[in-house]
Amino acid sequence: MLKIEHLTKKYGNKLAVDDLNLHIQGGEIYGFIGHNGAGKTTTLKACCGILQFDDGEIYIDGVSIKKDPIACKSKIAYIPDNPDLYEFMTGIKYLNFVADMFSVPKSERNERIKMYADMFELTDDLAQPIGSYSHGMRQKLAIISALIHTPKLVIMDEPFVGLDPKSSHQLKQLMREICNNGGAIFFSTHVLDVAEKLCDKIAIIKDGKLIKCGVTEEIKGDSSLEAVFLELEGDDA
Amino acid sequence: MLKALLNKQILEFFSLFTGSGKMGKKSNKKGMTVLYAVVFAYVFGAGGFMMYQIADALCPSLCSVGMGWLFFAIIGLMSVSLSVIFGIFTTQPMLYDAKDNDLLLSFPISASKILFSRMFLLYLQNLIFSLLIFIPAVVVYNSTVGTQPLTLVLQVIVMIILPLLSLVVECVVGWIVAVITSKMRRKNIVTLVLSVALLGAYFYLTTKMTDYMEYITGNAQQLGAKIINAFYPFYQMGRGACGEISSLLVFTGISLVVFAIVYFILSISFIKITTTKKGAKKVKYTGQMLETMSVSSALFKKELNRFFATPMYMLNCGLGVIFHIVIIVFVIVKKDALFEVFSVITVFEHHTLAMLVALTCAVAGMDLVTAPAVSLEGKNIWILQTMPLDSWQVLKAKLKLHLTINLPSSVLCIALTGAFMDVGVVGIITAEAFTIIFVCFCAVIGLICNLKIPNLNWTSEAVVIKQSASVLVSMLVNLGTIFAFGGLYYLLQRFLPAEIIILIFAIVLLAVTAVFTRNLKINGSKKFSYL
Repeated sequence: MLKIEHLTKKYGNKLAVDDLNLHIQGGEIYGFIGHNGAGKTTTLKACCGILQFDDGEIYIDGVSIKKDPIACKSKIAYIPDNPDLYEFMTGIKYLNFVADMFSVPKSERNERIKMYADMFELTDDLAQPIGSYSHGMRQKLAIISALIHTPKLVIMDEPFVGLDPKSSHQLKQLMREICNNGGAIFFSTHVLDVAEKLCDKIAIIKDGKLIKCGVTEEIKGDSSLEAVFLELEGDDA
Repeated sequence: MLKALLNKQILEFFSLFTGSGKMGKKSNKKGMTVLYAVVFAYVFGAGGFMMYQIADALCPSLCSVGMGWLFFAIIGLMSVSLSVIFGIFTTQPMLYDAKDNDLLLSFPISASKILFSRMFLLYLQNLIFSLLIFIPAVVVYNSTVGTQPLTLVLQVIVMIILPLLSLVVECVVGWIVAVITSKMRRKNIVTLVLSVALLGAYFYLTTKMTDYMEYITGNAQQLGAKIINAFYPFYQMGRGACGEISSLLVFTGISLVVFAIVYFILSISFIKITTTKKGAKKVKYTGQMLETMSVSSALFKKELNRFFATPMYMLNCGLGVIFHIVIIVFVIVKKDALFEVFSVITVFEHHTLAMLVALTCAVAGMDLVTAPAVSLEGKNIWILQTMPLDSWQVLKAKLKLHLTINLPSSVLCIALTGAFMDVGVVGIITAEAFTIIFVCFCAVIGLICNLKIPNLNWTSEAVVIKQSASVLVSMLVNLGTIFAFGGLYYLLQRFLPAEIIILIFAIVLLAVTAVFTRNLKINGSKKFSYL
């Protein structure tokens, strides 16, 4: 579903991502962990086609994001670390706008908006301007808008920040459901407990380099993901 | 702590002029410096020349009757009035609606310091206005009565102190507006109505300027007495600017005390105003059936929504529509007076058509809908970038908004004024052709400038709309284009009729616009995708 080959990205002289290779298959929840500034967001943004990279290739469902970004974007959804949305729109207008952008048919968009808004208990607030939303409500709206077009690949940057426990639980279930239907999830997180329980595979990045990746169980072994992560961080320091 | 806040404000102020994308890329510093030197030279040159003319008409006659202080008092009143009229649009958003309110209030900093740092930025704005108006006045005064070093020093002090008074008036009005609208659902409308009223007052005063100047020079004694009674600080300021140290001290004292009182009052209410939630009644979503739209229609609707949701955007970038209507009404009502002016000023005689085109296009050239359009995406830009659409579609929606706002009034202005001024059918058609192409040109230039110098990291959209680099540069390019065509027209008018010249200009501008549009489509779209 997502294939990253030799991804390299520099900001001036600083190497943000260094020759990163990663392959995420349909049905997988792939966690991406690393310290602040390790290159997680840069990688995620490059996968979404909103950040140019210096070297390498990224394929979404076999299509190069460099060569055909529009085809790639129609298959993915992105939820950024900070849900900055159009404050001059109401929640429902925003969802409708996103549905228009993805050309979601009328009946399907109505059905999906109702389903997800009910799930995240946001239905009553959809007529309110986004400017009046709390951080958590914006995060829920960003999640709903990302799912309207039933993406094959969902790329999320710290998706659980700001969500209440119930919504957090709903999101985890949704993530699993997307994967059960053949989709894939690639998300960054600092919450290692969540990553350990939720992810099928884990990739650990440090200073732009991929230092470990594979099946979660294999990576953590008999230890916890936190212990492994801290050890790897310490080893390379 | 206060120093850190002031540094932050100054950094934010200058970031508007350097531009910054999501990744903090800064534009070419040397190029930007040259560009700003040109912009400021233009603004100070044009504005300074106008002020010099006014000062030159007032100063000698007032100084000859020993009322030099009245001259400075009037200049001071003009400076404060203009600062207030133009500053009031930004005062409220800059003081109370900044996006970093929560962050700053969470720091162990007193609200009064946050307020002070924001007022400091407004002071700098007023200082620029003050210098623009005062420097020509000082030049005229000193060349009329002779330069005295001490007087010159006092005049400089007046220039530094006077913006404080402007700031006080702006803050009081801004505070009243903030208190009234803090719980209003339709806050935009109040801001819009107030802003239009102030602008109306400004243009009314401008049209009456000649009458006022005649009145001032003819009734200096009576007016002087009125100013002493009604505007005592300005009386002392006038005397101070003429070399009276004691008067300057009184003026400085009054200004500082008034500023301190206003600052104290605003400090008390600052937290309440900035943290008061909008009192809008909660509307419950009832689950109505949603309508679908094509991608281009949805993008255009989004642009329209943003435009009408932001009074500052409407006012600064759609004001030309009101001006076009004013021109139409003026031509209809004062047609004979206009012909009279054209016949008196020989350069304009027999060039009615060219004058109408220049006037209509000058107004259209100040309507900069596209110039802040990319910057206004701000931190929301990721939404459009992650959508499965060609960035050109996004840019086209922004261009379409510009044309939707500006084209109808421009076309109507040419058609009606042309008909009333009897320029003939051919004249109207050629003028329409040029004007339509010029509006398209302005739309494209605005977008190119904003893509070259974007600023996505703003804390107040008011400053992006009013003061950002792309807005200033676009206006300069638009007005420069009109001047360039005006110069060419002057050279060609001896050999060709106006209709032919305008038609040639329209063809040339069409070619230039086509080249720029192509550049925007290819390079601009790519740039937008990765801003």
